[in-house]
Amino acid sequence: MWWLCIRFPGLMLDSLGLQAHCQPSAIMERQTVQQVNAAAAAQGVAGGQSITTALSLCPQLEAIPRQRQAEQQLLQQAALWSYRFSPLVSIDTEQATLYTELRGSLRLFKGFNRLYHYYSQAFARRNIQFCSGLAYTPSAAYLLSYAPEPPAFYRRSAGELDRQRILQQLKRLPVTRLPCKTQIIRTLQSSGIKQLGPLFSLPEAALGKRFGADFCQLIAYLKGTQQELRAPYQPAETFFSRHQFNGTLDSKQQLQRPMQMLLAELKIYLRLRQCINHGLHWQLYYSDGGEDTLLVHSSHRVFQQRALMELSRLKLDSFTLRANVESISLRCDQFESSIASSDNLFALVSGSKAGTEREENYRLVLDKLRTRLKHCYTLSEKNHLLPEKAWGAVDAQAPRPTTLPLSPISTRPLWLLHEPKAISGQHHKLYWKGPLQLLQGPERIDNEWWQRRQARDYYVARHQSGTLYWVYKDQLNHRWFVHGLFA
Amino acid sequence: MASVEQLLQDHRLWRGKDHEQQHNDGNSVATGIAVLDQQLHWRGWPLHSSTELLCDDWGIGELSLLAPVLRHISQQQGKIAWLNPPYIPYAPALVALGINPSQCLWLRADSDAQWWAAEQCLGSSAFDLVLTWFSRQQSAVTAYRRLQAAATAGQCMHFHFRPLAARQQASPARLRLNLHSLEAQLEVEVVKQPGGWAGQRCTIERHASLLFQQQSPQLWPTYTGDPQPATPRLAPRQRTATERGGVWAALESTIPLQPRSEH
Repeated sequence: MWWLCIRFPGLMLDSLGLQAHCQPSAIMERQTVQQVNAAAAAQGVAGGQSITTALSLCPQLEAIPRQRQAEQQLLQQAALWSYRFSPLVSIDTEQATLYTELRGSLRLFKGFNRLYHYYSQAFARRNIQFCSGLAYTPSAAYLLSYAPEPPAFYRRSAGELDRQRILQQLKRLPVTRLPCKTQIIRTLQSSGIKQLGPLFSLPEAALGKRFGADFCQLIAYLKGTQQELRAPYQPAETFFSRHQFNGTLDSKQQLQRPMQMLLAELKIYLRLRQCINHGLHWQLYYSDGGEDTLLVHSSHRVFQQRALMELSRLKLDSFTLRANVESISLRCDQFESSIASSDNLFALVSGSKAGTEREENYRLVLDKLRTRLKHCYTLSEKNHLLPEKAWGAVDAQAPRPTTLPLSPISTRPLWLLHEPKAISGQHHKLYWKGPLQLLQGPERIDNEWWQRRQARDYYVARHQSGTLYWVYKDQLNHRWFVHGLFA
Repeated sequence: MASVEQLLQDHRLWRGKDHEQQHNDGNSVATGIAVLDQQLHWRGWPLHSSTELLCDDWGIGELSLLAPVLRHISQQQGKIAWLNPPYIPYAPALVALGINPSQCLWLRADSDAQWWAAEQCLGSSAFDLVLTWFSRQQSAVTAYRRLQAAATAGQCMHFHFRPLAARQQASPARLRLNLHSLEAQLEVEVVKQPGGWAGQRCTIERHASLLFQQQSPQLWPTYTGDPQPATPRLAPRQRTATERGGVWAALESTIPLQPRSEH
C-alpha cells in the first residue's frame, strides 16, 4: 500500500484565501495568533503571540477569527479531488491532513510521477500551500511530510517503495513530531530520546508497558510492521462548493471565471457519482452580509458545461447586483442516475442518431427560452363543449410522443380571441370594424347549466374586406360577440 | 469572393435564359396548393430560409396557405414554434387540419426578447418551422439578415408575417408574398422569389365549406307528416310572420333585424 499524505500547514489562511494577500493578516483563536501570512510574518508577527503583541508589532494587521467551517470545506474539496485518483481517501481534521492510497491507481495514470504531477497541480493552481509525504502507512507518511525530500524520493525505480530510505528519514525526525500525547513526548525527552532513531531500537514490549498499547501500535505503524486502517471518505449526497475572492468583485463580467471553476468541480462530482443534476442553485454573498440566490433549471440528460454556463449567464443578465460580491457558491441537491446513451453501431436508419441529437437540442433551446421568457407552452386539446375550454396550454417540458385524437369537430377557427369581444348591433345590423354578413349557422352550445349557464349560437360571418369571423349570440343577454377568426 | 459559377450553383443567382432548369432540386418543399406552386420557380416554399408574408389583416386565409406544410411537418414528428401570434392558435382547429398540437410550442416575448427568441429557435436545429409575428419592425436590415442566417444554420423554415408597409424595405428573405383578401378569395402577389423574376399573381379560393351561404328558412322544405305516396307533394309551407324570429331575418339583408319584444 502506498499512502500519500498531503498536509496543509496554512489551512486556516488558505481556506479564506488570505495567503497571498498583500495586507498583513493573522488568524486568531481565543486571543492568540494561530497563523500569519507572509506579509505579517515580515513585520515580526508569529504564531503564539497574543493579539496585543501582534498589533503593537504591526498596527495595520487584519485579525480574523478562525473559521472551522471554511477549513472543513476546503478539506472536503481536496478529498473530492483525491477521490478522482483513488477510492481510499481519508481526512484528518485536527492535523489538517489528507491521506490517499495510490498503489492501485499507478497503472491507470502510467506511473507515480505523472499521477503526482497531475494531482499536485490542482493545489498549485488554487495557491494552496501543502507538504507531502509518501510511505507504507498513513502515520509514517504524515511524519515524512515534515521531511524536506519530495515523495518521489522514496520510490525505487523498480516501482516499489524504498523501505530503507523511509526508515532512514524517519529516524532523523525529532520526537516532538510524533502524533501522540505531549506527556509521552516530555517523558521521552526527559529520558534522553530526542530523535526517532533511538526510539525504534527500543524493545516494543518495554515501550508498551511504559506508555501503553496505543503508543506501541503507533511505533509499529511507523516501522511498517503493522497495516493501518483509516476511516474512508465518502462524497456527500449534495454538492456544495464555495469560492472566496481576494477582495470583492463588482461586475457580472468578473463572476464568469469563478462560475466556470465551480461548474468544473460539479462536473467531477457528477462523474464520480455517475449521476446528473436537476438544476443549479447559485448563491452570491455580498460584502455587507446580504445574500442572493439564482435558480437555474435545466432538463438535460448529458452534462454539458458550456450549455449550463450559458443558462447561468442568461439568468445573471436579468439580475442586478446589490453590492460588491465577496464569494459565490454552487449547490445541487437533486440528482438522478445518468443513463449512458448508446448509439447504434450500424445506424441503418439515418434519422435514429439524429433523433436523439434533436431531442437534446430541443431540451437545450427550451431551457434557454424558459430562462428568459416567461410564456412558453405546448398546446393541447381538451374534451369540452365550450370552445374557450376546449384547448389548453401545458408548460413545455421534455417531448413525449402523442397520437392525434379522433373525430375532430368541423368549423373551428384557427385563431381564437383571448376574450370574446362585443359587437354592436347598429341599425339592426352587425358591425365590427365594418358591416358583417352572416353566412352559416347557428351552432348552438348550451352548457354548464350546473355552474353558470352558457347558451350561445355560433355563426360564421364575413366582413366586407373578406375576413371570416366566428361570432356568437349569447342567448341569455342577447348580445353579439366575436370569438375567433378563420385563417 | 465567390465566383459566379459558385453563386449559380448555390442558387443565389439565376440566369434569365435557363431558369427552367432550376426546378425542385431539393431546396424547396411543395406548398400543397397547385395554383401557388405554378407561380413559384422553385415549385414550393424555400427550405432553410426566411419567407415573408406581408398582410395587414388577420383571418383572410394566411394560415390556410401554410396548412399543408404544417401538416406535413407534424406527421414527420417535427416541432413548430409560434412566436408572438396575434391570437391564440386554437388546438381543435389544428387537430381538424391534421396538425398535432403537442408539436406546437407557443411563445410570447416582449419586444426586446422576441428577436433573441427567434434567433434561438431558428439556430438551434431543434425546430422544423418557426412562425413569427413581430410587434415592432426594425428599420435596419441587419436584424432580418441575422434571422435568415440562423434559419440557414439551423436548417429550419421561417415564415415571417409583416405588415404591407414593409414591402418598401429591402429584405434578405428568399421569398416574399403579398397577401390581399378579395370577397371570397385570397390574392397572392409574389414580390420577390428565388430562381427567377417576380411579379406573379394568383388567387386562391377559400375553403368552400366556410363560404357556404345558407338558404333563408322560408325556402326550407318542411315535413307534413303523411308518408302515403298517392297524395301529391305539398308545396313548402310559408312561415308566418310570428314564426320568423329576429335572428333569421338577419340572414336576408332586406329584412331588418327586429328588436326582440318578448322576454
